[in-house]
Formats: sequence, C-alpha cells, structure tokens
Amino acid sequence: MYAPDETPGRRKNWGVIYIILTLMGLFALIPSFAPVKLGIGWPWILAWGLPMLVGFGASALAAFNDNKWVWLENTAAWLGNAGLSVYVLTLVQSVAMAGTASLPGTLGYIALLVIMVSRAYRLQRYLKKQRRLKEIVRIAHRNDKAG
Amino acid sequence: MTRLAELPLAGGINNEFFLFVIAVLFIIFGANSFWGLFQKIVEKRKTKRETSLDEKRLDFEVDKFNIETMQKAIISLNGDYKRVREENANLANEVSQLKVNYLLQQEKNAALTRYIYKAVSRRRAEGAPLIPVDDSDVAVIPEIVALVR
Repeated sequence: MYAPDETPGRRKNWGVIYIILTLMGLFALIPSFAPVKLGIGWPWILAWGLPMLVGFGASALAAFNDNKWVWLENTAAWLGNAGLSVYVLTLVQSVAMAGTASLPGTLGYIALLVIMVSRAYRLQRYLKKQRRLKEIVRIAHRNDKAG
Repeated sequence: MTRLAELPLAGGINNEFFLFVIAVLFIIFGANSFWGLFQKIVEKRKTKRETSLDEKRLDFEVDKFNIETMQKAIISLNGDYKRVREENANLANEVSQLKVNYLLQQEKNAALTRYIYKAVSRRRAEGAPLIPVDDSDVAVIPEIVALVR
C-alpha cells in the first residue's frame, strides 16, 4: 500500500521547501525584486505571488505542526501550486514564443511544479485514506451502539 | 534599458493556448484546494453530530498506530462483531422457541391438572375409591394411572 510521508521529520523537510517557495511568492510581490526580465505585468504578478505567499506560507506553518494539520497543508499547497503554475507557464511561454527565459531554468521550474503537485496529490490520498478509516470506525461505533 | 511594454511578454500570459492551459491548471488546483477545505468542514460537522465518538482520541490512535494496521484490525474486528451478533441472534431465536415450547407444555399440564381435578371430584361424588386397588382396576381414573405408569 502507498505510504505518504506522515512522519514529522519528513514533513519538516517539506516545510523548508514550502518556506523557500513562500519567499519566492513574497519577493514576486515586492517591486524591487519582481522579475523585470519577464515583464509579466502586475495582474499576473499578483496571480502568481499572492497564492504562493498565502498557500505555501500556510503549508509551511502546517508542516511544522502535528499531523492533525495535514488537511491545511493539503488545501494550502494546492493554492500555492496554482500560483506557481502561473510563473511556470509564463516561463514556458517566454521560452516557446520569445526565447527570453533560459530553457534549463524553465525545465527546472517545471520539475519543481511537478514535484509540488505530486506532493499535494499524495497528501490528498493520505487524507482520503484517513477519512475512510474514520468512517469505518464510525460504522463500527454505530454497530456497537445498535447491538 | 528596455521598457516593459516593449518586451514580447509584457502583459503576462497572452498566448491563447497558454491562457487556456493556465485556466485549466487554476481550475484543477483551485478545485483541489476547495475540495480539501470542504472535506474538512464535512468532517467537522460529522464530529459535531456524533458527540459520543471521541474524535480527538480517534486522531491520536490513528497517529499512534499506522493507518493500515488499524484499518485491518478494525475491519477484522467488525467482521468478528458481525459474526458474534449473528450467533447471538440465532441463540435468541432458539431461546424464544424453547420459551414457546415451555409455555405450551405448561398449558398442557394445566389442562391435564384441571381434568384430573374434575375426574377426582366426579369419583368422589360417585363414592368410588380414589386409589386403584390393583393393576386391573384401571378404570378408576385412567389418566392418573397412565401418568403414574
């Protein structure tokens, strides 16, 4: 059976990655750090930076707490992924259409997005399994009361 | 220095295909995010409804042992429990059948007792002896003789 990393140590490792991605979102929102080279404009910067800041920030907070906050980590990680995907798509477009971004860097960001999506997906599966287990316990509990 | 407006990507994702892709990604990721939140709310409501089930303790148990172990144990225990309950129901059926038999027997006994009392009082009225004199005197109270035998 598939085992997601539910041990606190490994969750903390992911927490560090969340923090880095939160900083990325934060720096996108600060004008002096915004990527001038891509010139993607403020609406897109906001669509990129805000979900990353809020999503991965909340994920980082959840990752450094105990397992009962996994649901928040999952919900927020999906939000962060939405933000990250804006940046990745911008890079992909700039490589494909104008060649203003570097190809290896873009591939790296695509890999990062894939890793983060897979992480969020694994969290989702873990939560689903947990909910199912609780449902079984509830049924057993109801049977117990009915008997 | 190149001005932003002069760059080919000024204005962000402006290609139709990439706009479509980002829309799809946003919808998928956003839906997953809201789905997680929604499930949590549903879970909370269930917990509120079933106050007798200690959800915090359940969380603790799920964390302490791993999920697969608990899942197997609970499924197996639930199976055992169902079997025991079935056996219990069968036993209850047998017991109720025995009760019915017992009541029927009691009814028969009561009817026989009433019959004997009537027969005895009739014999008294006729002035005949109540106890059979010998084995051939079966006509005294045939039912009593049959019972004694």
